[in-house]
Amino acid sequence: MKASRREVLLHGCVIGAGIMATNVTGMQALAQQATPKLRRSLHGMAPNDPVLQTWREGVRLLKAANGNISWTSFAAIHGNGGGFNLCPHGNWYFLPWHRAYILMYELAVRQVTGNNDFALPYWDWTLDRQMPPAYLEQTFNGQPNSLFEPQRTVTPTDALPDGVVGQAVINEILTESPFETFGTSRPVGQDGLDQSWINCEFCGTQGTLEGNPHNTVHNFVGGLMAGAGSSLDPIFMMHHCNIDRIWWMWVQGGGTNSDDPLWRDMTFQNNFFNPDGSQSSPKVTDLLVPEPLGYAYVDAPIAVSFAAPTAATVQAVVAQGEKFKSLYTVSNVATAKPAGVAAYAATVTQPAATVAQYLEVPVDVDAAALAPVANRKALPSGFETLSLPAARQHFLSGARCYAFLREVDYEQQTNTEYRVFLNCDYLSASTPTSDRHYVGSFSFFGKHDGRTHGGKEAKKPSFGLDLTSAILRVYGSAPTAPSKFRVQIQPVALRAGGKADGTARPSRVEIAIVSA
Amino acid sequence: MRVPCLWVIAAGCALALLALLASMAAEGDQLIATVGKPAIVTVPPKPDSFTAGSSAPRVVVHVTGYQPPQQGSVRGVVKVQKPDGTEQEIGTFGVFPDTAFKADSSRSRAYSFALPKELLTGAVKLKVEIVPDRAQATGEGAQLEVGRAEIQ
Repeated sequence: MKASRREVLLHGCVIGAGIMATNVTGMQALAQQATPKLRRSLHGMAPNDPVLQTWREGVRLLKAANGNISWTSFAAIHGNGGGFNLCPHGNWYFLPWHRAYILMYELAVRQVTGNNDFALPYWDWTLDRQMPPAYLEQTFNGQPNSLFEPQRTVTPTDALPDGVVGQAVINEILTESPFETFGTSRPVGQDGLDQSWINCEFCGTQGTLEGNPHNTVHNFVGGLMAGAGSSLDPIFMMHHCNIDRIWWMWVQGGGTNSDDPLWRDMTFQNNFFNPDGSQSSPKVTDLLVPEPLGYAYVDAPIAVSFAAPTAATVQAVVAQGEKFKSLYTVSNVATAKPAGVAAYAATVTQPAATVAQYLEVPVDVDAAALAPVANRKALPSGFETLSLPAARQHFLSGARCYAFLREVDYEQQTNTEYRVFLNCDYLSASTPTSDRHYVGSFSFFGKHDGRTHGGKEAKKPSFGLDLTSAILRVYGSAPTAPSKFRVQIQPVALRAGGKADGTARPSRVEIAIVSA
Repeated sequence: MRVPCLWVIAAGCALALLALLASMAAEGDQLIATVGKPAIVTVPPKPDSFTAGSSAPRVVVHVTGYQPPQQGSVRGVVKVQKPDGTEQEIGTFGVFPDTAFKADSSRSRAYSFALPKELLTGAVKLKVEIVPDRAQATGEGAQLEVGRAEIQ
């Protein structure tokens, strides 16, 4: 295989990490693992997933403990209501220090639970704009939920906006360079490796990752998370795990860590605890690659490439294309029943959607047919920045679900955006597109007063919308897939402050589940 | 050789003054932002003598004061006014910890953003807005003070 320009194989990084592990000093005690454990996304993780079960139990045990290996002891390392303690913020030690800090929790949880396969999950807030469900309930299986934190000010429906964690933000972060712009700059005036430079608070210029989304997500959750004692909230580790993952991705995409000895040679002297309670003093150079530390963000090598699609991708596209052709060659998928497609439909009898009242169309579906869609693995955010062909191949490799809004009648459509949601119980015109129930939007262009080109009678437009991502967000972590969809159309003003009088009413809503 | 020494001193003073001017607010600037009332900061052009190679320009905003909102959380959104009068957003930042502070310029919190080269035409006018993070929140009570801004 001829390597394309800038092609980087993670496999090489893993091999390199293995070689590096044998020369790492001071970190063998921290790692204690022969095989890196996979850190998985909370996206689509069921509440009783072994990872969440272990984390929940580990947090409970640490909260009940005293001494060095305890929840309060670990949190005090970061800070408390009086301010930061050892953690660096606003200088270039921010990323490596927090990598070691959450690793301390990961190793402690393995120790106290006895589950040596445990790895911290991460909150991919680009995919999941709202608080992960596992953190919202006060109880789990009748017992107090150790992941619940009453002081949070965020509500279950609050959603992080695009400007904070959207794909454009991630793209900019992943393409940023050099390290001190990406990962926050050195303290101004630093001239040595004295420990005081680590805690020189805000002495550097906060970079594209720390200023946002790191800071903003902390504040968005609120309560303990908004202050120096933020690691008292168990969501802290999942938030920083995603920050850590983005650092890892940045390197995978060609980002280069600083080679300045003032950064690389700094030791975090006695900043952390080993699982046996002894103190740990990793150096920045010990913290540059996750695998020697005992964890990884992928379980198979990925190709970071700008090359043309692989043969496998092309084949997948062709195969899917045949199924989709069958969807687009019929006027009603539910009656046509194309091969490889489970289809359902509902006639719309409700009044048209208006800004004041959305239109909701219930459609019965087969939960068993829907399960492969709800259970498919989502690509973590940022991977499409590294390789669009790889992301496309991943997307095409699983079952997908589409909605067709047929023959939509509409009026006064100018300045109106029609947002489509799925099974949202609190839907209104102010529900943002960052809400997990949001599917997509459509609008109408032109109305020919009943006539089209050549004077022929104009047909009413139909729209197809991909429900796959919304199903993953809403039902990925649910125990079972739903047996009823409520497809909702909510008109909103396209231009803020303008009047939106648009109405819309499809004659029929069809659901098509396309098998992989 | 006293004359060359004097020239060196004079040149040094001029450079120092230019550096100071580069970070001072212009008349008419509004340095305090609240929700609905952004801070406006005029950033003088980077003196040619400070131009460093061909590295992409960046704007650094120094925040010297902050008051969190009464409820919820807010973020700062930085925009640059383009020659045609429209605005272009260049970045977002949050103040963490989300607690009130007041600092002198030497202890300000600095945030940097990429500045598109096409916007580097003379002085750069920055707008720093306070925006609530949550859809239903107002951000009432939030205040942000921009001490200075500079182009690096």
